[in-house]
Amino acid sequence: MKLDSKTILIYVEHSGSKVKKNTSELITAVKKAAPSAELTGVLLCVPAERAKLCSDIEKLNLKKVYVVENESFSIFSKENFASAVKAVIEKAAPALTVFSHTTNSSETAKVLASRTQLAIICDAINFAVYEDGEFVAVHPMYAGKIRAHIKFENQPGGIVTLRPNVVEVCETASGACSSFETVPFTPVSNDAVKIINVIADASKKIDLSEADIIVAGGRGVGSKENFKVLEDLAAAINGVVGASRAAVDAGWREHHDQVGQTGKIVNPKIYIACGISGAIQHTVGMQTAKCIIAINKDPEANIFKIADYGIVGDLFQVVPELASELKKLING
Amino acid sequence: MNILVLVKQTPDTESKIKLNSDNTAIETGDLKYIINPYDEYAIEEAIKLSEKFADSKVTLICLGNAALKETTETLRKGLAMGASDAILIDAAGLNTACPYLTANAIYQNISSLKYDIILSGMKAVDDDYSCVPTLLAGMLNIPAVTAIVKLTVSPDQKTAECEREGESGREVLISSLPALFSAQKGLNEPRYPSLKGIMAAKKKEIANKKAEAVSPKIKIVKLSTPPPRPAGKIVKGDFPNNVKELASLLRSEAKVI
Ligand SMILES: Cc1cc2nc3c(=O)[nH]c(=O)nc-3n(C[C@H](O)[C@H](O)[C@H](O)COP(=O)(O)OP(=O)(O)OC[C@H]3O[C@@H](n4cnc5c(N)ncnc54)[C@H](O)[C@@H]3O)c2cc1C
Ligand SMILES: Nc1ncnc2c1ncn2[C@@H]1O[C@H](COP(=O)(O)O)[C@@H](O)[C@H]1O
Repeated sequence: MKLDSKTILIYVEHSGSKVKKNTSELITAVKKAAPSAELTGVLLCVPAERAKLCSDIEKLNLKKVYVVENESFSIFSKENFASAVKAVIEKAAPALTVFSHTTNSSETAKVLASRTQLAIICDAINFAVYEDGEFVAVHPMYAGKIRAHIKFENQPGGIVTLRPNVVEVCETASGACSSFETVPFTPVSNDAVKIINVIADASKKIDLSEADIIVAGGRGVGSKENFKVLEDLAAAINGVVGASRAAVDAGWREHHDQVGQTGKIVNPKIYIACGISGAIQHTVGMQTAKCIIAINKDPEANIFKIADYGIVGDLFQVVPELASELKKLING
Repeated sequence: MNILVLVKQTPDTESKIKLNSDNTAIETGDLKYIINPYDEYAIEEAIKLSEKFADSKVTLICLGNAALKETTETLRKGLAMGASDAILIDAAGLNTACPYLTANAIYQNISSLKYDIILSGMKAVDDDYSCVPTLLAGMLNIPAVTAIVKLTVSPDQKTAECEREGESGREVLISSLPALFSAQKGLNEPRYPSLKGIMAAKKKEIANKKAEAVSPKIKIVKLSTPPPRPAGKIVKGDFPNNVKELASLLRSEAKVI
């Protein structure tokens, strides 16, 4: 599928009051691959949110933003969200629709693909346009051991989801205000699947796959209570706590804290691995972190092979000391 | 209750994956294969349901290379865990690098079967698409609830309550049946096959099926390996000087703090 000077639709992700950073990541990635394409956005929100989001949206510098306003968007439903995006696609006829590969948006994208028959490339880490003009998305396979360069085949348009945190956002100069077009929409009531409850987890501040700083603990941490040491370091540097499978399987951490092939694939700026040996199923989940720091008492541990900085020592000594040193630095 | 379980064989997660000489495929010669780890949770959940509801049948569905003995071994392991039947759809001649095509080939072979629940893994650890279940459910026009960590089927077998990690917390959902559920880690602990199960599985027939090729929607142009990470350094010195040194390196050299 060729992209040049065609319309690309960006799915604007937001928190209700702010446009999320990953939306800018999408725009950066698309602009880099297809500089002359025309970028438009789709915004789903409840009516009360629109005014709050307006100034953030204008900063995105999109040519046009299709707004679908509906009270039903206060609760996430992949069917309802997908059918709203479908309504916009029918109007805008984009060559490409781009989502962030976050928990909810990736679900919406997949349902959209299944409802529209459009092709989908899930969980890309980069886009490119080849010399022949073909759009290509790079998707890690085998937990990142291999990268597949994938194009759309025999397709008028396609859907792609971009992994959060892999693209460094380029700030663009603020241009003219976007124009808005409201798209009418009747929500789909999905009787087949109903959310009856959402049990909020107070300890889960941000999803690991979107976190900038992760302090991860493994079997070396020794117990559920001992994770307090890691929590303290995370708190000092505004990070979140992750874990190896050994720590999760021991019942010290929740499953959603697990990093690795059968856990989360993460991409933080800083990853501090404490008492983690560095098994391949773990390292494939965090090896793209910008800066990896390993703390392990075994100098032969595999984790040191991929760490930028390592300290051989007892984590119960090193981690609290590191927390106090970094706190000093941050507080100037 | 009739339960279908989608299972795929994937390279062992320990494997080093190497590319062939023209970067179009991986070298499969030395690979060891396992059941996709997420599919093991799906099989376990299906067997648990079949133990709970009388007259249940658990049918494994695999689209794979029928010429490879590892493919049938994968199915035999699922049978040994306690599944009743297995269907192997031959992937020869199909471009399974396209999740739409995979879903379509499975669809062709199961749309006429009777089922109350379809269980699958939430992603295959080889292609890492996590798309096949949602696409398949769309073709079958049944609901798909992905990445579940808990499943409870109502006594009348008309609905199922399930739980999954959503963005704002743990979502509790009720779905009408038939529906497809994809399994996330945490759903259960897969059992080891018993000796009796292994013996019984050897005697079972695996039904061989085929699918018509449809045109793929995506195509892999080439494969590459990620750039290797440059070697790091161990911060030397005695505690606590090494930690002080690390902290200052993070600011002055790595510039991340
Ligand atoms: C199909 C499959 C999927 C898997 N998926 C994942 C996955 O997604 N994520 C994952 O993490 N694993 C996964 N694994 C498991 C993986 O193979 C390893 O078993 C696991 O990562 C080991 O965890 P660990 O490093 O915490 O424990 P260990 O390997 O036991 O290492 C503990 C480390 O702590 C160090 N240590 C002990 N005490 C201290 C101390 N006081 N101070 C400093 N260091 C100390 C030790 O030197 C050691 O290196 C998977 C395995 C399989 C088979
Ligand atoms: N070739 C296949 N045969 C049977 N099931 C499959 C196949 N490919 C994918 N699946 C199922 O779909 C799930 C998700 O796969 P994927 O979308 O490829 O990541 C897997 O965990 C399987 O349960």
